[in-house]
Amino acid sequence: MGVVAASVLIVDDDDGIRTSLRLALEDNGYVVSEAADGEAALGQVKAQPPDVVILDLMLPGMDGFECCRQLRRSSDVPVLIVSARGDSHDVVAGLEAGADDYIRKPFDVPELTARVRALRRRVRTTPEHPGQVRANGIEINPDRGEVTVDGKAVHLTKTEFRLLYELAAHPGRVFSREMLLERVWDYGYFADARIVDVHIGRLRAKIEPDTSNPRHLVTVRGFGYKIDA
Amino acid sequence: MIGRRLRLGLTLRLTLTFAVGALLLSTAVALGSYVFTATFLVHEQERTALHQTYLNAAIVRGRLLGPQADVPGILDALTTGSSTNTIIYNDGRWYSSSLLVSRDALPATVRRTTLSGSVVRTWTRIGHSPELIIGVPLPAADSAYFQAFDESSLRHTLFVLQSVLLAAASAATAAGAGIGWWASRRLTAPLRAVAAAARRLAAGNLDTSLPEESDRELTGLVESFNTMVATLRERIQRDARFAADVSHELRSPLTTLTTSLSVLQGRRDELSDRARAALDLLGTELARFERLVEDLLEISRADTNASDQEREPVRVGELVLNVLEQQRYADISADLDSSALEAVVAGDKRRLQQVLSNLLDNAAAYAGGATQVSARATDRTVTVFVDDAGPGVATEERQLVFDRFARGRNATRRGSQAGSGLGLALVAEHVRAHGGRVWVTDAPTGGARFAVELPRSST
Repeated sequence: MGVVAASVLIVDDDDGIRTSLRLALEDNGYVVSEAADGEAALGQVKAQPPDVVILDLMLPGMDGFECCRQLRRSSDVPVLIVSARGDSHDVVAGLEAGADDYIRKPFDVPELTARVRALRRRVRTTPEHPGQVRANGIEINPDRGEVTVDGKAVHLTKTEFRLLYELAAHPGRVFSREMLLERVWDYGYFADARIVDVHIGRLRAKIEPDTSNPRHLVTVRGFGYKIDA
Repeated sequence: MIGRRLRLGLTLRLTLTFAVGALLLSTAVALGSYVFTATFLVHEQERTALHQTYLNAAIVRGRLLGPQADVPGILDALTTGSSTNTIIYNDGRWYSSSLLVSRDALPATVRRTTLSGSVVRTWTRIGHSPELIIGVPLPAADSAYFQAFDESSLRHTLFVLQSVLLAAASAATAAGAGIGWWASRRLTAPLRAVAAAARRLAAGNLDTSLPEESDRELTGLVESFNTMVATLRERIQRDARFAADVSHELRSPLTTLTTSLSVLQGRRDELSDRARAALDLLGTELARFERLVEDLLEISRADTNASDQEREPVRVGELVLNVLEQQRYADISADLDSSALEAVVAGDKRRLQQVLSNLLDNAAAYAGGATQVSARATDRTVTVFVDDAGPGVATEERQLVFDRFARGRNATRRGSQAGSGLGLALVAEHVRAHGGRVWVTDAPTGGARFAVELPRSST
């Protein structure tokens, strides 16, 4: 699990779920904190930022979507939303509110820890990922976690950063949604490709001067996405 | 079926009624017109002929009584139309203006009656022409005057009149039939609309409704139909929503259960043998329970028509291979030909995956596991076959196995593998939503073969 134990904040109003998750995650070597509602969660993230937030969408008072949006204003901590609704529109809404990934109730503990691990993965410098990257006006420094687009600094969440890095490190190469799901989120063939689409949309909102006519991160119809050299 | 027969009958009946009505009416009018016109024309002709004959007879009498009566000269001097011939009897001899129409052309009764002192008017036939013959006795001169009128033109006029009236009557009948057909179509259009809407409804399209009707007599029908559909839709959706709500509410406690179970499973070593056996049982049943809740939710989603389907191009071959990559399907062989590997369908990847894994899990639960998955494609479809080596599915059960909670006679539960009872029903629902079909036959190697046929997308 690494040298430093990863910390997870569980935000759920259901006592049973919070307690059982705490037991399971602690058994898997995580440091766990809990919050029963959105306000408490925001306070905890401010006081002591965790490595990953596990956020239930159905919360009393401030709901999960709002909590996620407010969290995003001050933090780039990875957020894994837990959806109990059958309606898949909720998933998209949650991702658009700034979540990094989602998982459906009921889930297996191995499934959950795999998701948490994938969210904690950082860009590592390997021969394939040679450190600093420049492509099409985008400059990424993975060691310092800095991104500039046309000379202007841009603030990205960890997942957005990884996604942009993946694309920019291979200028001109087209990535299918499945490839990006595997490389950034550690998913297999059957994952929900909307995760990629929503993140691409968020990324464009941050790096493109005109999102309806993207210059940096372009769509290759029928294939996927790419960043030119 | 009954609706269709009724509709045809109504249209036919109305068309026939209108046609027969038009036929009777137009025939009566035509016949009346003909009789009236013909009578009038014949009468007029006779009057004119009589008038002319009297005038000529008077002239003939005057000449005959005058000095130097020259009968042939009298004949020549008479003014008659070209189609009229004159014959004079005088002093036992017959004189004729024409070689064709002479004494012999006159019927014997005409001659006799005239010579005995009466005016005769009669119709006869000379050659092919109808002739009106008028005989006037001239007793003072001991003579008789006959005039024969060729009435071919009158006959022709009457023939033309007949033809025109017949044509008019036929046209009126045809028009009557046409109007009848049109009217019946108009009349049954709302019926057909209702029938079509009912068919759509029966096919599961709950959004069916009839458009507003401006006709006051039909508004009631349309309104009650739409109300019925709305009530039906509400009831079906309420039922489906209830199932969805129940499954949904079960998700949170289920999460707590599975999570707690995994804590226990992680600490198996700390448990006694008896506790471990109980834990395993708990794990098996919890997995089954979880599956049931998921399937119920899924199927109620299909029932409420909540089409959150993500349609994207899916390569069927790729999907099959990816499903088979999972550990529990390691013993199953794959046989995909190149056309099937290329085949793309517009589908929801998650649901298509569920179709295949439900079929595989069904084979695992009831037939000792699937042996082979194969796929073949045609220009329009791609079909995936899942074969097993089990006892097969009896012919009479081949439809029933896709029903909800259906358990075949041979479907004895095999340990922990038993499914939710909704697996094949979900397969059927998903395949139907993709515009395909699913059926079961015998596998070539014995056992059962489940086949899923999906339409290929054009791209």
